Amino acid sequence: MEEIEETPLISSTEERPPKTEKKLDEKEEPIIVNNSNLVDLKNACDDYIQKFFVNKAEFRQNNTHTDVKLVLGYLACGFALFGGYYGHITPFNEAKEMTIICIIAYFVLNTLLVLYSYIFEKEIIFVGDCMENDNKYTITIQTNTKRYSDIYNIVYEYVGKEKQDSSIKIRNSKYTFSKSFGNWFDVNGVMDIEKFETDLFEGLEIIKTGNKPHEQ
Amino acid sequence: MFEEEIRFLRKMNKRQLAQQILNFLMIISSALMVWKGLALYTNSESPIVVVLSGSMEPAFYRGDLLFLGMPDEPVRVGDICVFKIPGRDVPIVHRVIKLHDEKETGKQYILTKGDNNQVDDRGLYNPGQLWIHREHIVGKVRGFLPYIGIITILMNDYPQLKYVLIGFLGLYMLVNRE
Amino acid sequence: MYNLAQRANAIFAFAMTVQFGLLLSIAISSLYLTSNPIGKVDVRELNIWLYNYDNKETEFAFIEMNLDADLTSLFNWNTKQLFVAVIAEYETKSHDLNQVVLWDSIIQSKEDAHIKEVKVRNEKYDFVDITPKFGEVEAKYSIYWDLMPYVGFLVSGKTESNQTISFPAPDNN
Repeated sequence: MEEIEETPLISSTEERPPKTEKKLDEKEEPIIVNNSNLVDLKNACDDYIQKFFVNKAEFRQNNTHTDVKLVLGYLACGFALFGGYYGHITPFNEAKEMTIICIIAYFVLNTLLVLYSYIFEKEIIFVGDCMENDNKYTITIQTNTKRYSDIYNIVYEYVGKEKQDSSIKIRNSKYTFSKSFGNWFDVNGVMDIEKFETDLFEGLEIIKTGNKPHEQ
Repeated sequence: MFEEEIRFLRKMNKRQLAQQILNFLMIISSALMVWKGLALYTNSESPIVVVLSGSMEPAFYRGDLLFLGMPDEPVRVGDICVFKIPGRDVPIVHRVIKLHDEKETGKQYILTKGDNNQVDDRGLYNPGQLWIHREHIVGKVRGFLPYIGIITILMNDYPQLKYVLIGFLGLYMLVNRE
Repeated sequence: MYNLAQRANAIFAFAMTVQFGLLLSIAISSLYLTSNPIGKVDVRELNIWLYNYDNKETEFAFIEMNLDADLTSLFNWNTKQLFVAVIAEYETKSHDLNQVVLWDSIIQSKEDAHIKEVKVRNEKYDFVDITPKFGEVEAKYSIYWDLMPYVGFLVSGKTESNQTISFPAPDNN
Protein backbone atom coordinates (compact mmCIF):
# COMPACT_ATOMS: atom_id res chain seq x y z
CA MET A 1 0.00 0.00 0.00
CA GLU A 2 2.76 2.41 0.94
CA GLU A 3 4.74 1.74 -2.22
CA ILE A 4 1.85 2.53 -4.49
CA GLU A 5 1.44 5.94 -2.94
CA GLU A 6 5.10 6.74 -3.05
CA THR A 7 5.63 7.48 -6.68
CA PRO A 8 2.78 9.89 -7.38
CA LEU A 9 3.39 11.66 -4.08
CA ILE A 10 6.97 12.63 -4.75
CA SER A 11 6.36 13.68 -8.29
CA SER A 12 3.46 15.86 -7.26
CA THR A 13 5.48 18.13 -4.98
CA GLU A 14 6.98 20.71 -7.25
CA GLU A 15 8.43 22.92 -4.51
CA ARG A 16 11.05 20.38 -3.63
CA PRO A 17 14.08 20.06 -5.88
CA PRO A 18 14.81 16.32 -6.13
CA LYS A 19 18.54 16.82 -6.67
CA THR A 20 19.44 17.88 -3.16
CA GLU A 21 17.47 14.99 -1.78
CA LYS A 22 19.60 12.46 -3.59
CA LYS A 23 22.85 14.01 -2.45
CA LEU A 24 21.88 14.04 1.20
CA ASP A 25 20.65 10.48 1.07
CA GLU A 26 24.06 9.22 0.13
CA LYS A 27 25.76 10.95 3.02
CA GLU A 28 23.31 9.74 5.66
CA GLU A 29 24.40 6.95 7.93
CA PRO A 30 21.74 4.43 8.99
CA ILE A 31 19.68 5.29 12.06
CA ILE A 32 19.71 2.36 14.48
CA VAL A 33 17.90 2.38 17.82
CA ASN A 34 16.92 -0.07 20.50
CA ASN A 35 13.47 -0.84 19.21
CA SER A 36 12.15 -2.00 22.55
CA ASN A 37 12.78 1.43 24.02
CA LEU A 38 9.89 3.76 23.21
CA VAL A 39 11.81 6.87 24.24
CA ASP A 40 14.63 5.96 21.85
CA LEU A 41 12.15 5.40 19.04
CA LYS A 42 10.41 8.70 19.63
CA ASN A 43 13.69 10.62 19.91
CA ALA A 44 14.96 9.10 16.66
CA CYS A 45 11.76 10.06 14.86
CA ASP A 46 11.68 13.56 16.40
CA ASP A 47 15.28 14.15 15.36
CA TYR A 48 14.63 12.93 11.88
CA ILE A 49 11.54 15.09 11.48
CA GLN A 50 13.64 18.17 12.24
CA LYS A 51 16.26 17.09 9.75
CA PHE A 52 13.61 16.33 7.20
CA PHE A 53 11.89 19.68 7.34
CA VAL A 54 15.18 21.57 7.15
CA ASN A 55 17.00 19.52 4.51
CA LYS A 56 14.25 17.98 2.42
CA ALA A 57 11.30 20.32 2.74
CA GLU A 58 13.49 23.44 2.96
CA PHE A 59 11.95 25.10 5.95
CA ARG A 60 14.05 27.45 8.00
CA GLN A 61 14.03 26.14 11.58
CA ASN A 62 12.89 28.55 14.26
CA ASN A 63 14.61 27.58 17.51
CA THR A 64 12.89 30.09 19.81
CA HIS A 65 11.40 27.45 22.12
CA THR A 66 14.69 25.64 22.65
CA ASP A 67 16.61 28.90 23.03
CA VAL A 68 14.24 30.32 25.63
CA LYS A 69 14.49 27.10 27.59
CA LEU A 70 18.28 27.01 27.34
CA VAL A 71 18.66 30.64 28.44
CA LEU A 72 16.31 30.20 31.41
CA GLY A 73 17.99 26.92 32.37
CA TYR A 74 21.57 28.17 32.16
CA LEU A 75 20.65 31.38 34.00
CA ALA A 76 19.10 29.33 36.82
CA CYS A 77 22.17 27.09 36.99
CA GLY A 78 24.39 30.16 36.98
CA PHE A 79 22.61 31.54 40.04
CA ALA A 80 22.74 28.17 41.78
CA LEU A 81 26.43 27.56 41.14
CA PHE A 82 27.34 31.15 42.04
CA GLY A 83 25.34 30.84 45.28
CA GLY A 84 27.14 27.62 46.09
CA TYR A 85 30.55 29.10 45.33
CA TYR A 86 29.84 32.32 47.25
CA GLY A 87 28.66 30.34 50.26
CA HIS A 88 31.83 28.29 50.05
CA ILE A 89 34.20 31.26 50.22
CA THR A 90 32.17 33.38 52.69
CA PRO A 91 31.24 32.56 56.29
CA PHE A 92 27.73 31.16 56.67
CA ASN A 93 26.16 34.14 58.43
CA GLU A 94 27.59 36.74 56.05
CA ALA A 95 26.57 34.80 52.97
CA LYS A 96 22.95 34.42 54.05
CA GLU A 97 21.48 37.29 52.01
CA MET A 98 23.28 36.34 48.83
CA THR A 99 22.20 32.73 49.35
CA ILE A 100 18.55 33.77 49.69
CA ILE A 101 18.77 35.83 46.50
CA CYS A 102 20.31 32.93 44.61
CA ILE A 103 17.77 30.42 45.89
CA ILE A 104 14.83 32.65 44.98
CA ALA A 105 16.29 33.43 41.54
CA TYR A 106 16.91 29.74 40.94
CA PHE A 107 13.40 28.68 41.83
CA VAL A 108 11.73 31.56 39.97
CA LEU A 109 13.72 30.85 36.80
CA ASN A 110 13.00 27.15 37.12
CA THR A 111 9.29 27.80 37.54
CA LEU A 112 9.36 30.05 34.47
CA LEU A 113 11.09 27.25 32.58
CA VAL A 114 8.46 24.72 33.57
CA LEU A 115 5.63 27.13 32.81
CA TYR A 116 7.13 28.03 29.44
CA SER A 117 7.42 24.45 28.31
CA TYR A 118 3.97 23.64 29.69
CA ILE A 119 2.14 26.63 28.21
CA PHE A 120 4.06 27.52 25.03
CA GLU A 121 6.23 24.64 23.98
CA LYS A 122 3.86 21.79 24.80
CA GLU A 123 4.82 18.90 22.54
CA ILE A 124 6.29 21.01 19.77
CA ILE A 125 9.42 19.51 18.30
CA PHE A 126 9.77 21.66 15.21
CA VAL A 127 8.82 25.16 14.12
CA GLY A 128 9.92 26.34 10.72
CA ASP A 129 8.93 28.73 8.00
CA CYS A 130 9.52 29.13 4.31
CA MET A 131 8.92 31.92 1.81
CA GLU A 132 7.28 31.25 -1.50
CA ASN A 133 6.64 34.17 -3.83
CA ASP A 134 6.27 36.62 -0.95
CA ASN A 135 3.95 34.21 0.83
CA LYS A 136 5.08 33.12 4.24
CA TYR A 137 4.27 29.62 5.46
CA THR A 138 4.88 28.49 9.01
CA ILE A 139 4.78 24.87 10.03
CA THR A 140 4.58 23.56 13.60
CA ILE A 141 5.04 19.88 14.36
CA GLN A 142 3.97 18.30 17.61
CA THR A 143 4.55 14.64 18.37
CA ASN A 144 3.58 12.36 21.20
CA THR A 145 3.26 8.75 22.18
CA LYS A 146 0.96 7.25 24.76
CA ARG A 147 2.51 5.27 27.56
CA TYR A 148 3.15 1.61 26.59
CA SER A 149 1.75 2.26 23.13
CA ASP A 150 3.65 1.89 19.86
CA ILE A 151 1.58 4.53 18.06
CA TYR A 152 3.43 7.70 17.10
CA ASN A 153 1.18 10.72 16.67
CA ILE A 154 2.30 13.64 14.52
CA VAL A 155 0.27 16.84 14.56
CA TYR A 156 0.96 19.22 11.68
CA GLU A 157 -0.09 22.82 11.88
CA TYR A 158 0.32 25.03 8.89
CA VAL A 159 -0.23 28.77 8.73
CA GLY A 160 0.10 30.51 5.40
CA LYS A 161 0.15 34.28 4.92
CA GLU A 162 -0.61 34.73 1.26
CA LYS A 163 -0.52 38.11 -0.44
CA GLN A 164 -3.50 38.62 -2.64
CA ASP A 165 -3.46 42.00 -4.33
CA SER A 166 -3.16 44.40 -1.40
CA SER A 167 -4.61 42.26 1.39
CA ILE A 168 -3.09 39.32 3.18
CA LYS A 169 -5.04 36.11 3.29
CA ILE A 170 -4.35 33.82 6.20
CA ARG A 171 -4.75 30.14 5.63
CA ASN A 172 -4.82 27.73 8.55
CA SER A 173 -4.79 23.97 8.46
CA LYS A 174 -4.20 21.16 10.87
CA TYR A 175 -3.62 17.48 10.30
CA THR A 176 -2.99 14.58 12.65
CA PHE A 177 -1.16 11.51 11.55
CA SER A 178 -0.80 8.32 13.62
CA LYS A 179 1.12 5.20 12.83
CA SER A 180 2.93 2.43 14.67
CA PHE A 181 6.72 2.69 14.95
CA GLY A 182 6.69 -0.79 13.42
CA ASN A 183 6.09 0.77 10.02
CA TRP A 184 9.46 2.52 10.05
CA PHE A 185 11.75 0.23 12.05
CA ASP A 186 12.71 -3.37 11.36
CA VAL A 187 13.43 -6.11 13.92
CA ASN A 188 17.01 -4.90 14.31
CA GLY A 189 15.94 -1.35 15.06
CA VAL A 190 17.12 0.03 11.71
CA MET A 191 15.01 2.93 10.53
CA ASP A 192 13.54 2.68 7.05
CA ILE A 193 14.21 6.31 6.23
CA GLU A 194 12.49 6.21 2.87
CA LYS A 195 9.24 4.91 4.30
CA PHE A 196 9.30 7.49 7.06
CA GLU A 197 9.96 10.28 4.56
CA THR A 198 7.12 9.07 2.40
CA ASP A 199 4.75 9.39 5.33
CA LEU A 200 6.14 12.80 6.23
CA PHE A 201 5.73 14.04 2.67
CA GLU A 202 2.20 12.80 2.63
CA GLY A 203 1.44 14.80 5.76
CA LEU A 204 3.15 17.87 4.35
CA GLU A 205 1.18 17.59 1.13
CA ILE A 206 -2.11 17.23 2.93
CA ILE A 207 -1.44 20.22 5.10
CA LYS A 208 -0.38 22.32 2.12
CA THR A 209 -3.14 21.43 -0.26
CA GLY A 210 -5.83 20.41 2.12
CA ASN A 211 -6.40 16.97 0.61
CA LYS A 212 -4.68 13.63 0.20
CA PRO A 213 -2.38 13.40 -2.80
CA HIS A 214 -3.71 10.17 -4.20
CA GLU A 215 -7.22 11.58 -4.23
CA GLN A 216 -6.22 14.28 -6.70
CA MET B 1 34.99 1.57 26.19
CA PHE B 2 32.97 4.76 25.66
CA GLU B 3 32.80 4.59 21.84
CA GLU B 4 29.05 4.41 21.75
CA GLU B 5 28.67 7.31 24.18
CA ILE B 6 31.08 9.48 22.21
CA ARG B 7 29.26 8.68 18.97
CA PHE B 8 25.99 9.62 20.65
CA LEU B 9 27.40 12.99 21.72
CA ARG B 10 28.92 13.69 18.30
CA LYS B 11 25.66 13.02 16.50
CA MET B 12 23.85 15.76 18.39
CA ASN B 13 23.66 19.34 17.25
CA LYS B 14 24.77 22.29 19.35
CA ARG B 15 21.41 22.88 20.97
CA GLN B 16 20.89 19.24 21.84
CA LEU B 17 24.34 19.08 23.38
CA ALA B 18 23.65 22.24 25.37
CA GLN B 19 20.39 20.67 26.54
CA GLN B 20 22.15 17.49 27.69
CA ILE B 21 24.77 19.45 29.61
CA LEU B 22 21.99 21.56 31.11
CA ASN B 23 20.18 18.43 32.31
CA PHE B 24 23.31 17.40 34.15
CA LEU B 25 23.90 20.88 35.60
CA MET B 26 20.27 21.07 36.68
CA ILE B 27 20.65 18.00 38.89
CA ILE B 28 23.72 19.45 40.59
CA SER B 29 22.12 22.89 40.99
CA SER B 30 18.86 21.52 42.35
CA ALA B 31 20.71 19.46 44.95
CA LEU B 32 22.85 22.48 45.86
CA MET B 33 19.87 24.81 46.18
CA VAL B 34 17.84 22.34 48.24
CA TRP B 35 20.82 21.94 50.57
CA LYS B 36 21.32 25.73 50.84
CA GLY B 37 17.60 26.24 51.35
CA LEU B 38 17.61 23.66 54.12
CA ALA B 39 20.64 25.37 55.67
CA LEU B 40 18.84 28.72 55.71
CA TYR B 41 15.59 27.21 56.95
CA THR B 42 17.25 25.42 59.84
CA ASN B 43 19.69 28.31 60.33
CA SER B 44 22.52 25.81 60.45
CA GLU B 45 25.58 25.79 58.24
CA SER B 46 25.41 22.06 57.59
CA PRO B 47 21.89 20.91 58.42
CA ILE B 48 22.67 17.21 58.04
CA VAL B 49 25.71 15.52 59.60
CA VAL B 50 26.95 11.96 59.84
CA VAL B 51 28.04 10.47 63.16
CA LEU B 52 31.72 9.49 62.93
CA SER B 53 32.48 8.21 66.43
CA GLY B 54 30.94 6.06 69.12
CA SER B 55 31.08 8.65 71.88
CA MET B 56 27.29 9.06 71.94
CA GLU B 57 26.44 5.35 71.96
CA PRO B 58 23.91 3.88 72.50
CA ALA B 59 22.05 6.92 71.18
CA PHE B 60 24.03 7.42 67.97
CA TYR B 61 26.29 4.95 66.21
CA ARG B 62 28.84 5.51 63.47
CA GLY B 63 26.99 6.08 60.21
CA ASP B 64 23.77 7.49 61.66
CA LEU B 65 22.40 10.63 60.08
CA LEU B 66 21.54 13.64 62.26
CA PHE B 67 19.33 16.56 61.23
CA LEU B 68 20.29 19.83 62.84
CA GLY B 69 18.45 23.02 63.59
CA MET B 70 19.59 26.23 65.16
CA PRO B 71 16.59 28.18 66.37
CA ASP B 72 17.03 31.58 67.96
CA GLU B 73 16.39 30.22 71.43
CA PRO B 74 19.60 29.76 73.46
CA VAL B 75 21.36 26.48 74.20
CA ARG B 76 20.13 24.58 77.28
CA VAL B 77 21.53 21.75 79.37
CA GLY B 78 20.60 18.37 77.89
CA ASP B 79 20.67 19.59 74.29
CA ILE B 80 22.79 17.50 71.96
CA CYS B 81 24.89 19.96 70.01
CA VAL B 82 27.23 19.77 67.05
CA PHE B 83 30.17 22.09 67.63
CA LYS B 84 33.43 22.97 65.95
CA ILE B 85 36.55 23.71 67.96
CA PRO B 86 38.51 26.55 66.33
CA GLY B 87 41.37 25.21 64.25
CA ARG B 88 39.81 21.77 63.89
CA ASP B 89 37.99 20.52 60.83
CA VAL B 90 35.85 17.72 62.19
CA PRO B 91 32.80 18.77 64.19
CA ILE B 92 31.82 16.91 67.38
CA VAL B 93 28.34 15.78 68.46
CA HIS B 94 28.00 15.80 72.27
CA ARG B 95 25.52 16.66 75.01
CA VAL B 96 25.59 19.89 77.03
CA ILE B 97 26.09 19.04 80.71
CA LYS B 98 26.91 22.43 82.16
CA LEU B 99 25.91 25.91 81.22
CA HIS B 100 26.35 29.42 82.59
CA ASP B 101 24.67 32.46 81.04
CA GLU B 102 26.58 35.62 81.86
CA LYS B 103 24.29 38.43 82.95
CA GLU B 104 26.11 41.41 81.49
CA THR B 105 27.06 40.11 78.07
CA GLY B 106 24.55 37.32 77.61
CA LYS B 107 27.46 35.10 76.68
CA GLN B 108 26.91 31.39 77.18
CA TYR B 109 29.61 29.25 78.78
CA ILE B 110 28.96 25.69 77.68
CA LEU B 111 30.55 22.39 78.73
CA THR B 112 29.81 19.20 76.81
CA LYS B 113 30.31 15.49 77.26
CA GLY B 114 29.65 12.37 75.21
CA ASP B 115 27.06 10.05 76.75
CA ASN B 116 29.47 7.16 76.30
CA ASN B 117 32.52 9.02 77.68
CA GLN B 118 33.51 8.93 81.33
CA VAL B 119 34.85 12.48 81.42
CA ASP B 120 33.74 15.82 80.03
CA ASP B 121 35.13 17.32 76.86
CA ARG B 122 37.76 19.68 78.32
CA GLY B 123 40.38 17.25 77.07
CA LEU B 124 39.00 17.65 73.54
CA TYR B 125 38.94 21.44 73.59
CA ASN B 126 42.02 23.46 72.80
CA PRO B 127 44.65 23.50 75.58
CA GLY B 128 43.54 25.80 78.40
CA GLN B 129 40.02 26.12 76.97
CA LEU B 130 37.42 25.42 79.66
CA TRP B 131 34.21 26.36 77.85
CA ILE B 132 32.78 26.56 74.38
CA HIS B 133 30.44 29.34 73.29
CA ARG B 134 27.43 29.81 71.11
CA GLU B 135 29.54 30.73 68.07
CA HIS B 136 31.23 27.33 68.11
CA ILE B 137 27.91 25.54 67.82
CA VAL B 138 26.82 24.49 64.35
CA GLY B 139 23.41 23.24 65.41
CA LYS B 140 21.26 21.29 67.81
CA VAL B 141 20.30 17.73 66.91
CA ARG B 142 16.60 17.69 66.02
CA GLY B 143 16.07 14.52 64.04
CA PHE B 144 17.63 11.13 63.60
CA LEU B 145 17.85 8.61 60.76
CA PRO B 146 19.97 5.51 61.35
CA TYR B 147 22.51 3.78 59.05
CA ILE B 148 22.13 5.94 55.90
CA GLY B 149 25.30 7.96 56.56
CA ILE B 150 27.48 4.89 56.19
CA ILE B 151 27.49 5.69 52.43
CA THR B 152 29.19 9.02 53.17
CA ILE B 153 31.68 7.33 55.48
CA LEU B 154 32.52 4.77 52.78
CA MET B 155 32.98 7.53 50.21
CA ASN B 156 35.25 9.44 52.59
CA ASP B 157 37.31 6.34 53.35
CA TYR B 158 37.61 5.38 49.70
CA PRO B 159 37.64 8.62 47.65
CA GLN B 160 38.07 6.64 44.40
CA LEU B 161 34.56 5.27 44.97
CA LYS B 162 33.23 8.83 45.05
CA TYR B 163 34.88 9.82 41.77
CA VAL B 164 33.81 6.64 39.99
CA LEU B 165 30.23 7.13 41.18
CA ILE B 166 30.07 10.80 40.17
CA GLY B 167 31.78 10.05 36.85
CA PHE B 168 29.31 7.33 35.91
CA LEU B 169 26.35 9.41 36.99
CA GLY B 170 27.57 12.34 34.91
CA LEU B 171 28.16 10.20 31.85
CA TYR B 172 24.78 8.54 32.25
CA MET B 173 23.09 11.94 32.43
CA LEU B 174 24.96 13.19 29.37
CA VAL B 175 24.17 10.29 27.08
CA ASN B 176 20.60 9.58 28.13
CA ARG B 177 17.66 11.61 26.96
CA GLU B 178 14.72 11.64 29.27
CA MET C 1 10.99 -1.16 30.76
CA TYR C 2 12.94 -3.00 28.14
CA ASN C 3 15.87 -4.50 30.03
CA LEU C 4 16.79 -5.98 33.38
CA ALA C 5 18.73 -2.95 34.63
CA GLN C 6 15.78 -0.66 34.00
CA ARG C 7 13.37 -2.94 35.79
CA ALA C 8 15.75 -3.36 38.72
CA ASN C 9 16.15 0.40 38.87
CA ALA C 10 12.40 0.95 38.83
CA ILE C 11 11.85 -1.58 41.61
CA PHE C 12 14.67 -0.09 43.68
CA ALA C 13 13.38 3.44 43.22
CA PHE C 14 9.87 2.39 44.18
CA ALA C 15 11.12 0.47 47.22
CA MET C 16 13.10 3.53 48.33
CA THR C 17 10.11 5.81 47.91
CA VAL C 18 7.94 3.49 49.96
CA GLN C 19 10.65 3.09 52.60
CA PHE C 20 11.17 6.82 53.08
CA GLY C 21 7.45 7.47 52.98
CA LEU C 22 7.01 4.93 55.76
CA LEU C 23 9.88 6.36 57.80
CA LEU C 24 8.52 9.89 57.44
CA SER C 25 5.04 8.84 58.52
CA ILE C 26 6.52 7.03 61.53
CA ALA C 27 8.53 10.11 62.44
CA ILE C 28 5.60 12.50 62.14
CA SER C 29 2.98 10.26 63.71
CA SER C 30 5.06 9.64 66.83
CA LEU C 31 5.00 13.38 67.53
CA TYR C 32 1.28 13.04 68.18
CA LEU C 33 1.59 10.27 70.77
CA THR C 34 0.80 11.72 74.16
CA SER C 35 2.75 10.95 77.31
CA ASN C 36 2.52 11.86 80.93
CA PRO C 37 5.94 11.63 82.55
CA ILE C 38 6.13 12.48 86.24
CA GLY C 39 9.12 12.78 88.50
CA LYS C 40 10.31 14.26 91.74
CA VAL C 41 13.71 15.10 93.19
CA ASP C 42 13.91 15.15 96.95
CA VAL C 43 17.15 16.65 98.22
CA ARG C 44 18.14 15.03 101.51
CA GLU C 45 21.46 16.66 102.16
CA LEU C 46 23.59 19.46 100.77
CA ASN C 47 27.13 20.07 101.92
CA ILE C 48 29.79 22.42 100.65
CA TRP C 49 33.46 21.61 100.89
CA LEU C 50 36.35 23.83 99.97
CA TYR C 51 39.10 22.37 97.83
CA ASN C 52 41.98 23.81 95.95
CA TYR C 53 41.05 23.67 92.28
CA ASP C 54 43.13 25.31 89.59
CA ASN C 55 45.08 27.17 92.29
CA LYS C 56 41.89 28.69 93.65
CA GLU C 57 39.98 27.84 96.76
CA THR C 58 36.80 26.49 95.22
CA GLU C 59 33.47 25.47 96.66
CA PHE C 60 32.38 21.93 95.78
CA ALA C 61 28.78 21.03 96.52
CA PHE C 62 27.88 17.48 97.51
CA ILE C 63 24.29 16.50 97.28
CA GLU C 64 22.29 13.49 98.36
CA MET C 65 18.84 13.03 96.98
CA ASN C 66 15.99 10.58 96.47
CA LEU C 67 14.60 10.21 92.99
CA ASP C 68 11.13 9.04 92.12
CA ALA C 69 10.02 9.17 88.52
CA ASP C 70 7.65 7.31 86.27
CA LEU C 71 8.70 7.73 82.65
CA THR C 72 7.00 4.57 81.32
CA SER C 73 4.52 6.61 79.32
CA LEU C 74 7.37 7.96 77.20
CA PHE C 75 8.01 4.49 75.80
CA ASN C 76 6.07 4.13 72.58
CA TRP C 77 6.75 2.03 69.50
CA ASN C 78 9.31 4.56 68.24
CA THR C 79 11.29 5.03 71.48
CA LYS C 80 14.85 3.78 71.30
CA GLN C 81 16.06 5.10 74.61
CA LEU C 82 15.67 7.80 77.23
CA PHE C 83 18.45 9.93 78.57
CA VAL C 84 17.46 10.96 82.09
CA ALA C 85 19.32 13.53 84.15
CA VAL C 86 18.94 15.50 87.35
CA ILE C 87 19.60 19.16 86.67
CA ALA C 88 20.33 21.86 89.23
CA GLU C 89 19.31 25.36 88.18
CA TYR C 90 20.29 28.52 90.02
CA GLU C 91 20.95 32.20 89.59
CA THR C 92 23.96 34.10 90.82
CA LYS C 93 24.86 37.77 90.84
CA SER C 94 26.99 37.52 87.70
CA HIS C 95 25.11 34.81 85.82
CA ASP C 96 21.35 34.81 85.37
CA LEU C 97 21.07 31.14 84.49
CA ASN C 98 23.29 28.30 85.60
CA GLN C 99 22.44 24.70 84.78
CA VAL C 100 24.46 21.73 85.99
CA VAL C 101 23.86 18.03 85.45
CA LEU C 102 24.26 16.11 88.72
CA TRP C 103 23.28 12.58 87.77
CA ASP C 104 22.31 10.78 84.61
CA SER C 105 21.08 7.45 83.36
CA ILE C 106 20.23 5.87 80.04
CA ILE C 107 17.04 3.82 79.97
CA GLN C 108 16.50 1.42 77.13
CA SER C 109 13.37 -0.48 78.12
CA LYS C 110 9.98 0.32 79.47
CA GLU C 111 10.56 -1.99 82.46
CA ASP C 112 13.41 0.22 83.65
CA ALA C 113 11.53 3.46 83.16
CA HIS C 114 10.20 3.53 86.70
CA ILE C 115 13.03 5.21 88.60
CA LYS C 116 13.15 4.84 92.34
CA GLU C 117 16.57 5.67 93.68
CA VAL C 118 17.47 6.58 97.21
CA LYS C 119 20.52 8.42 98.47
CA VAL C 120 21.82 9.31 95.04
CA ARG C 121 25.01 11.39 95.10
CA ASN C 122 26.64 13.49 92.42
CA GLU C 123 29.62 11.15 92.18
CA LYS C 124 29.96 11.30 88.43
CA TYR C 125 29.66 15.06 88.10
CA ASP C 126 31.37 17.83 90.04
CA PHE C 127 28.97 20.44 91.26
CA VAL C 128 30.97 23.66 91.07
CA ASP C 129 30.08 27.13 89.89
CA ILE C 130 31.86 28.93 87.06
CA THR C 131 33.20 31.26 89.75
CA PRO C 132 35.05 29.73 92.70
CA LYS C 133 32.22 30.49 95.15
CA PHE C 134 28.50 29.85 94.92
CA GLY C 135 27.66 32.70 97.29
CA GLU C 136 24.14 32.88 98.58
CA VAL C 137 22.17 30.91 96.04
CA GLU C 138 19.04 28.83 95.97
CA ALA C 139 18.95 25.99 93.49
CA LYS C 140 16.00 24.19 91.93
CA TYR C 141 16.25 20.53 90.99
CA SER C 142 14.40 18.84 88.19
CA ILE C 143 14.38 15.61 86.27
CA TYR C 144 15.20 16.09 82.60
CA TRP C 145 14.45 13.50 79.96
CA ASP C 146 15.49 13.32 76.34
CA LEU C 147 13.69 10.81 74.14
CA MET C 148 15.66 9.36 71.28
CA PRO C 149 13.55 7.65 68.62
CA TYR C 150 14.45 4.80 66.27
CA VAL C 151 13.78 7.30 63.53
CA GLY C 152 12.45 10.85 63.65
CA PHE C 153 12.53 13.78 66.01
CA LEU C 154 14.20 14.07 69.39
CA VAL C 155 11.81 15.18 72.12
CA SER C 156 12.86 16.43 75.52
CA GLY C 157 11.19 17.72 78.63
CA LYS C 158 11.59 18.49 82.28
CA THR C 159 9.56 17.84 85.39
CA GLU C 160 9.43 21.07 87.33
CA SER C 161 10.11 21.04 91.03
CA ASN C 162 9.29 23.60 93.65
CA GLN C 163 11.74 22.50 96.28
CA THR C 164 14.47 25.08 96.70
CA ILE C 165 17.32 24.71 99.11
CA SER C 166 19.72 27.46 100.09
CA PHE C 167 23.37 26.63 99.94
CA PRO C 168 24.92 26.31 103.39
CA ALA C 169 28.29 27.68 104.42
CA PRO C 170 31.30 25.49 103.66
CA ASP C 171 31.83 22.72 106.19
CA ASN C 172 35.62 22.88 106.32
CA ASN C 173 35.94 26.63 106.43
